[in-house]
Amino acid sequence: MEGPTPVSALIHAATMVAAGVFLVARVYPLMQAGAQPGGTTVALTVIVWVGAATAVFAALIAIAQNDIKRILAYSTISQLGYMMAGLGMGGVAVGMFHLITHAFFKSLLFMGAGSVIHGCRDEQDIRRMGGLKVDMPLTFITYAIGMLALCGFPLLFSGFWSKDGILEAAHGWSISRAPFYLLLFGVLLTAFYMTRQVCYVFFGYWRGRQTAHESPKTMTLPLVILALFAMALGAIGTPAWPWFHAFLEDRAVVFDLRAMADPRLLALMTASSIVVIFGLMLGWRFYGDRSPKPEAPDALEKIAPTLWAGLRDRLYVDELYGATVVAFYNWWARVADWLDRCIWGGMVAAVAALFGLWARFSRFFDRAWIDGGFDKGCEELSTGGGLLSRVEGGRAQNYLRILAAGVVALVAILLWSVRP
Amino acid sequence: MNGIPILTLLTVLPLAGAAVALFSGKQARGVALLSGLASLAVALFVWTQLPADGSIGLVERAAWVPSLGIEYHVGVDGLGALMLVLSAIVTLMAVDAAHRVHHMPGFFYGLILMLQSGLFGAFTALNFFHWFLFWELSLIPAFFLIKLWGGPRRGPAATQFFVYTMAGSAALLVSFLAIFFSTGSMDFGYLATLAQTGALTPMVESHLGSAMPWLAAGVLAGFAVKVPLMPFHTWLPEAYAEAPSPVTMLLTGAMSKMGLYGLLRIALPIFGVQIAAMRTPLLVLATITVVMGAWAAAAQTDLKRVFAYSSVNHLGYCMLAIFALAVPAAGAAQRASQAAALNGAILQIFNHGITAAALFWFVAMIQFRTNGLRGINDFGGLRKPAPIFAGLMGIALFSSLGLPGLNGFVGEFLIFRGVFPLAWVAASVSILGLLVTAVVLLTVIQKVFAGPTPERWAKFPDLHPSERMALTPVIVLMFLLGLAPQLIVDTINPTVMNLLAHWRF
Repeated sequence: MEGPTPVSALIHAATMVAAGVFLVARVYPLMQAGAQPGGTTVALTVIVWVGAATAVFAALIAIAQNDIKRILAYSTISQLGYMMAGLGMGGVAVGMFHLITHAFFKSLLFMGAGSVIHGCRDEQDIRRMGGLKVDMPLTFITYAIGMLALCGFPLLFSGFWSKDGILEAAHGWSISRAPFYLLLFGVLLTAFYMTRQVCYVFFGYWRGRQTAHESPKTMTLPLVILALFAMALGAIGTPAWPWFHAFLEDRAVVFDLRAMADPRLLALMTASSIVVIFGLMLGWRFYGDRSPKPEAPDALEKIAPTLWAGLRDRLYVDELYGATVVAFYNWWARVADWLDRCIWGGMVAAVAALFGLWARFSRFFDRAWIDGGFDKGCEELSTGGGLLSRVEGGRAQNYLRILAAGVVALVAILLWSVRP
Repeated sequence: MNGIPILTLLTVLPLAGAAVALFSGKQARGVALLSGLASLAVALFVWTQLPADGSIGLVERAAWVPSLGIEYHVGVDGLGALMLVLSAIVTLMAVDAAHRVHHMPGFFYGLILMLQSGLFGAFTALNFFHWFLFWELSLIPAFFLIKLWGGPRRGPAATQFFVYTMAGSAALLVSFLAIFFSTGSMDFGYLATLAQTGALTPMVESHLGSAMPWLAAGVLAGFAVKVPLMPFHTWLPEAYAEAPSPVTMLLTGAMSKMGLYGLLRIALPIFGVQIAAMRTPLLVLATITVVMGAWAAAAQTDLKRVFAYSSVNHLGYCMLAIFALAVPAAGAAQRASQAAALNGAILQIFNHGITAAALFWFVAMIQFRTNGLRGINDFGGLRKPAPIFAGLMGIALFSSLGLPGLNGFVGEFLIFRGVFPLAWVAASVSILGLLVTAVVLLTVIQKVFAGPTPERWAKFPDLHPSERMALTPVIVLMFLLGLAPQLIVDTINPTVMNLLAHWRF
């Protein structure tokens, strides 16, 4: 969404959508493994519920966005939900057909949004646009075609046929009827938010700063081509001539107008057409031709401010991720760092300190005990030596004295020993 | 190759280069480049001369100290030869990245070449004594390189690095003394044969009782420090951050690989049974290394520390593969998984060596332009003034996070392909590491290259032609190995099959 508009068109229309939905379609045999004929599997059931919930959830958020590309981005998420639900309930061809039609009308819408943004001199806020149907007629016409295709406006637009395939499959789903009603509600929401966007951008009067201008042919020509496809592409997947489904399922295609006359099918098409038209009218009723001031609260905001705030803040999904995944990531990174510095590093420091302590003790032991004992011995030896050295003074008188004392002692001992 | 002792020549060549560089002052860089190129040429030649069956070739053998079982015994198989080529490439990159060393250049380049010789010696030795000599020899130049040319906290970093590795080496040495005491041999091949036939454990038991698991643990400790395996890694961020960038390139690109090589050449062949018995705790540690390494990288603000922890994470995958495959294979499917894991681990060793060295090289270039700044928050919007810089570093970053089409992807893919069937819990948890690494490296791209350009970096110089020329072969290699990994796999796969056939778990 924040990317350059052609990149958004590519991502939303082809790359990302194609990757996720295509991969589910590609591994469909795995998803189906173990199913009874005509039955379904847990994997497919999960896909259906997630898809249906996504379709409604994202469409709700799209209602309250003011960035022209952000609305389309949430619309893409919603349509992805349709594709997934279609894969889960109707099989590969149903989901893939919506993928293909959506690729064309959604890239048309993104390119159209790019043309609008360019024409409004890099303005993306729909509240600061308005009345562009006069200034940018070609962009308006093609955008309207894309919008009607996205809403699934009856008969002429490809989105009608691909979405009807999904609705029909949902109606016939064996497990529950709820996804069908969810998806039908999504159709209403889609028509509503697209009408809101188109009213803000193309109807009313100009509320931007500088005057808008039509984009050059290099930008409008692709819009025209895409618009043709957004209408005509439905022809390859109508119930009367389901060429696309036949192609994917590798069977011969039969042209059979009677298939359209099936009462259940007719009823469903009528119902979805009524829902679409009701959504368009509801949108017109709220936003119509009236051009509120950019600062003024939205028409829905006046009725339900709390609900509006929740939708505008995207139902707090980003905040939820911020508070869980991102917070966990950052917290865990700090834990890893702390473990490193304090626990592992601390263990190393402790071992080093222990070694230091041991070294000190060893030094002390050496000094005080080993060296001390040795020194003590040496000291005593040297004191003894000093005492002895006094004896050997070199003075003749001392020697004679000791000699005399010795002789006296010897005589005394001899006398003592020879005593009878 | 009758007669020409090519591996001895390869080991002596950088030593001679070092001797010349030491005395050639300002010309030392030229000498080192020449020597590095010559080494690379010889290493590539060795790569082409390997025996086709994956056994060890180019053997040279001579008595050294026969009474102590010490022999001069060298030889390489695909694994060893790949390590030689990697060491030669990384050394050349490091020498090229070092153009800013003005302080005692002769000594600096001399030490780098000495380190290279140590690497070559350790990657070719087949006798414990000889191998240990070079293992330690490579440590000494690394210590001085950090100590003398490092950053502000180089002293403690160098000491911690040295002491930590020495402690691991001591455990390794004791284990091998015990093995020698029990068997009378230090020859890797002979000991591996003993282990394969199951004769080694009774021999050790008759002399030392039930010491065998402890001996295995000692050997593992030596390698766990070197790679590193958490929690034996705390020396690494300090050493990588404080070492001058060329030395960091060598540390991560080549020296950390000595540990992994040791696991494959020494630990698994000789202590396979014991490692298989310790497999679960080892897998837990490897998984922790992968996951916590990535998350610790997320918390760093210094680019060098980011890449240091990211290296811990990347080498964690290798250890995950090596430990996961240490299980008695039951059936062909499991053997295929083991082969995939081992091929992946060896590819990852090579690819990480190239990519991590390139990343630290880019950090060196950033620091060169900004007077030493390398905080992740110091920059922004460098893409505008320096688009080629941003593009090439972006390629290296994407290679590191494992983008398909670049070399980082193939190794990790093979590792997970092999590890999942062998240890699916560890593999599933480790996948988180891939995710977090991607976030971390994309954050680097976003914070350094994207966003608004601050005023002071408006004139950040782009890569000049000589830098581009030096980087081109590395970037080309990233694409080449990403698109055609068989350039390596074709040569190492026979070795992998040969190794697996001889290991007993």
